[in-house]
Amino acid sequence: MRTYSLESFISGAKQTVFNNSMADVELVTYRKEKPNFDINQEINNRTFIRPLPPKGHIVRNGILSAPLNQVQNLKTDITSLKAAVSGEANDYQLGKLNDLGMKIGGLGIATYLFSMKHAPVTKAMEFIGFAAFFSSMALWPRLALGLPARIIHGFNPFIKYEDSQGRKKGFFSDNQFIPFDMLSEKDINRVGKRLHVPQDIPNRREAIEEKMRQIALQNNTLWMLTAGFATPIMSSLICNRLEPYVEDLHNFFMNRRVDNILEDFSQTSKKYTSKKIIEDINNIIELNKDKSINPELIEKLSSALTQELDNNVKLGIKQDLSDLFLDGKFKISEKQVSEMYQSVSELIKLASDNKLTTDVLRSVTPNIEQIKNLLASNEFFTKSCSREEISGIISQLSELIARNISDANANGASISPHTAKKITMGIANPPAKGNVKSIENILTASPASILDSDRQMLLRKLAGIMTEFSAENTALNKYAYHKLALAPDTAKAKYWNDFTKSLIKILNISHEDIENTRLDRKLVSKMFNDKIWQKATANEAEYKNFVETIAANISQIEKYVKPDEINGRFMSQVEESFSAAATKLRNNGFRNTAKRITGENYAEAGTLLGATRAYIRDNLTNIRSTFSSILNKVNVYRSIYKNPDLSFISAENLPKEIKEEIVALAEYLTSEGGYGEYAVKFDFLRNANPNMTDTEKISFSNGKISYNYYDAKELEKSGIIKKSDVTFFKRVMNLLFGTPVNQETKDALVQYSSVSGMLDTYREKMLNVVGNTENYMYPDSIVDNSRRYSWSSPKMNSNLTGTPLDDVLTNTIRKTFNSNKWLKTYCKFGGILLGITLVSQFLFGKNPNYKKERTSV
Amino acid sequence: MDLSVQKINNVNNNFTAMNINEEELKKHPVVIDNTFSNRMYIGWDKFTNALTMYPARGLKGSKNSNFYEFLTMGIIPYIAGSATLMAIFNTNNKFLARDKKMASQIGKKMALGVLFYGLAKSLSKNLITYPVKWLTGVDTEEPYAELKFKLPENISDTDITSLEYHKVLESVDFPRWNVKYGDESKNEPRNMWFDKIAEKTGLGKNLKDSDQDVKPLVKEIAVKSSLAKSISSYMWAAVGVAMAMQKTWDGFFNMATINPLKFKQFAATVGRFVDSVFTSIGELYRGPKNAGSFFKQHSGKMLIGAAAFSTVAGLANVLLNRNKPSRLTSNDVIDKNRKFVVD
Repeated sequence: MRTYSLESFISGAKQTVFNNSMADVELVTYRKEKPNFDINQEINNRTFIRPLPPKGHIVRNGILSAPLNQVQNLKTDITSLKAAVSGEANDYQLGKLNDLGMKIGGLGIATYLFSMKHAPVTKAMEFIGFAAFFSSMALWPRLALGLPARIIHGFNPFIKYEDSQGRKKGFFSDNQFIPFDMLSEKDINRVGKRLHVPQDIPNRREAIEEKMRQIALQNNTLWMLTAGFATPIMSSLICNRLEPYVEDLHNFFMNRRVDNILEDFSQTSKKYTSKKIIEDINNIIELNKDKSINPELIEKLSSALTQELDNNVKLGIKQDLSDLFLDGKFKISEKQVSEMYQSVSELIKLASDNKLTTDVLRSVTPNIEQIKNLLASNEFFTKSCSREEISGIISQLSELIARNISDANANGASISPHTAKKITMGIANPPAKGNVKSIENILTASPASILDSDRQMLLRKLAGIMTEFSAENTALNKYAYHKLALAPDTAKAKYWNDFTKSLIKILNISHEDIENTRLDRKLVSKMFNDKIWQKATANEAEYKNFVETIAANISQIEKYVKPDEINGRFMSQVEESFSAAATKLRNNGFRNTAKRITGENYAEAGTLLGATRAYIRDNLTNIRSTFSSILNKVNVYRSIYKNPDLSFISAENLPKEIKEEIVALAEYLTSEGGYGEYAVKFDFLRNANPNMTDTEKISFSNGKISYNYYDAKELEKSGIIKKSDVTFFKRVMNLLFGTPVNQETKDALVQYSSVSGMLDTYREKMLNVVGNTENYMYPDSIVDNSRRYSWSSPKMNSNLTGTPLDDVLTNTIRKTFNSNKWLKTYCKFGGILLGITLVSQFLFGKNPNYKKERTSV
Repeated sequence: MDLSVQKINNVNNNFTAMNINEEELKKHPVVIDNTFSNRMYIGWDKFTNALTMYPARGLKGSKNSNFYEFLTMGIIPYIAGSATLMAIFNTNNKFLARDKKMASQIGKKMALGVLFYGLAKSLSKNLITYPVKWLTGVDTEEPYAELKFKLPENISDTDITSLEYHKVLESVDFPRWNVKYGDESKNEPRNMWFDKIAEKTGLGKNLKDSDQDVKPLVKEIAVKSSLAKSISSYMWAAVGVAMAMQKTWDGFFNMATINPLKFKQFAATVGRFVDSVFTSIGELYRGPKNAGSFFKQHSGKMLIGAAAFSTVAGLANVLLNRNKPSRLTSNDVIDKNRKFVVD
């Protein structure tokens, strides 16, 4: 309802309001300013109805006002929604609701995709993608069109205005309705100056407005033509660029959360307490209290007690419960007699192949009374029976049937001795065919043990112990998982990905290198070797810088994975929690369970404690070895470069060809990591008749090793494997792990003591496990029988070797190529689109008829 | 201006096919039967204009470029955006075979998602439009053609007509009631359409001024239908994307061909596609096997439920939650015979 003011008509009125919803209009004045004023005339002629003073204005949106605008937009959306629900919305409001629907739909998509993703970062990226898409939709016209237009033409073709009804609209959206009157003369003249509209033309304002209209229309059209391409590209590029930061952020919070687990473990582990074990045990007790305990119940109890632990512990608890609850005796009631009768009857039929007539069958089968007497005479209804006693009664039953058969034969039945034997034996050992319950099963269906109050109490106590232990185990598992699991978004994954990505930069691997090698692991391996040689043969400063960079990246393990913390506090906590649980279990008679949790006498293999520790140990070893092997490779190459006569591994001056073979095998092993798979990978082809006269040093040219004799391709045709040359193997292993770390490498690692320590440990272990002649790849070729078998396990070898470096680099190169290819394609596409959009701006506003039109005015 | 000599220049003139009388069109806007084929003709005409004539006019900065053309050009970002999104998800032709397979498995699904988004969004509007039409007689999507006359661009410009397709209830502020009045020169009752709506909506028969009674109601139906379509269509579009993410499509993409010359395989592809559409709805509803979390297991159900709810609630609001017609009371009217003294 609109209210019109009469104030302008009746001057001197104190407050005069006409409201057409009022029954009366009372006008009160204190002076006769208009003695001839006639309200009827005014109303008839509607002279008082005239537009309200316009309130429309340009909306000036700045960064600071953005939050306020968002709130206002939300308010408008809510108002529009309310109006539309009641059917009173206008076109503007319905337009707003379309935008709202689009956002709700987009949110629906993001939420669904979020629910389907596993890793937190990819989950988060669904919403970031949603936000990036809508932001790109809004940003593209502003940045690619509005901003350049403002710089070039002096005005923004995408400005908005708010009309008198408070509706925000695009100022230039409708080419045939542009509210230019909202722009002041000053604004127009400022734009006119920028648009180089002559000062001395008639109707200059109109000329400027016309040019502005034209430029705005051209921008609006270009927006429509480009937005479809630009929005998806821009949003995908935004997501691509944002993802590493999201990963960092996630990692920061995840690490903080996980590290907190160990801070106050007794408290934090309580967060993982689930009442399910206690509830389930209570339910089982309620259903079975004072009833006999059978194996099914034991199974149910074991499952309920170990629902968050592994099967190994479950087996332990099952064993303990059986030992504690089942005494091997059974209760037999008169109810079981008819079941026995049915079963005996079926068994006789089955054993006789259904050949007995009904009368004969009836005479052979003991009747219910006979069975009852048999059991009663043995006092089976009044005492608990052992398995032996049950076996005895089954024998008696068989004898009874045998007597019945004899009687039947005496009365004319012709049951053969063979059939008679089958029948009597079938009672004790029912045939596999048929679905008849054996007599033994019937008699042992109800163990004599009862779930009495003492046992109930023990179970409740056990549920408490297992609940506490499960919570602590879950907390520890959570810590271990987030630190070291082979899964996206763990600390290990973050560290690994960051490091491998940084390798591309550290090794100066160019786009061409990636293009040329990505298809083959062998090519990657060769390129990798060349790159390391380049660095190893560089001057001291460059080499030092290179080693420092690698060490700095490796040392990030302290930031993300924190191995010291894992080996220290975490391992102690594992020991403490597991031991505490085992002690409590042992004290309550659950010796087997305790054994399966911690083991006995420090023998933790096959226990939960052993599995937990091994998981941590193996993972840490693997990751440390992988990254130490890079540093080791660099160090070995530097040592070779600095001592090309290889005097540091051999006192005698070796022939050059042998030296080259040693270096070539070192190159191969440090790149492709064949230590762990020597059956197929450790084969190394050598010259059967090497040149023994040339004892020159190893040669280098163009920053890499230059082989004069060693020719891998040629050796593929004529080379041999010298299995018995243990000395050669020793020299290679000595070169790789035995000789002291190069002094320059040591110097570079001074400030990275943890990395230096890691390298030393790696070299020492490798020398012992892989480089020891006990572990020589051809043990059968060693004559000394006492030292021919390896004590290292394949698992140990594999963990120490880590991931082969060529594999690491091949994967990194592949991922980098894919990512770069995608990025390059769309950066190029986006760049061209942006370029065209920007250049177009210079062509806008060039009206060919402009001069003609202006001169004709 | 003698309109009879003016030729209506339009990229695709399908007046005969759409049963539009060209001579009448020159005099006034003409309502077009809201049939599937007519919608296709209109859509195609608008689409071709949006790609050719309207951008040309806009880039020139023509005075004749109007808001209708600007809005019609909105189809370009839709088409280009969909194609670009599909391309972005499938830029993997230089990848190694293994990476390519993995990337295209997701990429093809995403591309299908883009397609299903558009289809579900368009088709789901019918879930509102048709029930409303059947139960109230109001076709909220009824189109009409209108000839617009432009200013000549230059002295030799004789092509001054432009054909626009609108919907009668496109604007709730200014519905084109004029096209819904009967043509009395053809002995049609003036309020023919309004009488029909009044009867169908229960306002009554033989109303004195049925148009005055019906207009607020039709406007209300148009507003509420628009709300229902705005929200539900995007929810169904989200269901479309989610459908495309289901496992069944992996099998489909492994066997599909787009080459109709391989007739047998192509026919099998079509069959499998239809089958996969239904299977994907089932998979979306049931959730993945061993989902591991309640949300993951039931998010598909929730999405379908939200879309279905938005449609049902939207329809219920249109059909059941109708405002009562406003009645003027004496308080609303100024009594002209009353004396007002300005003292």
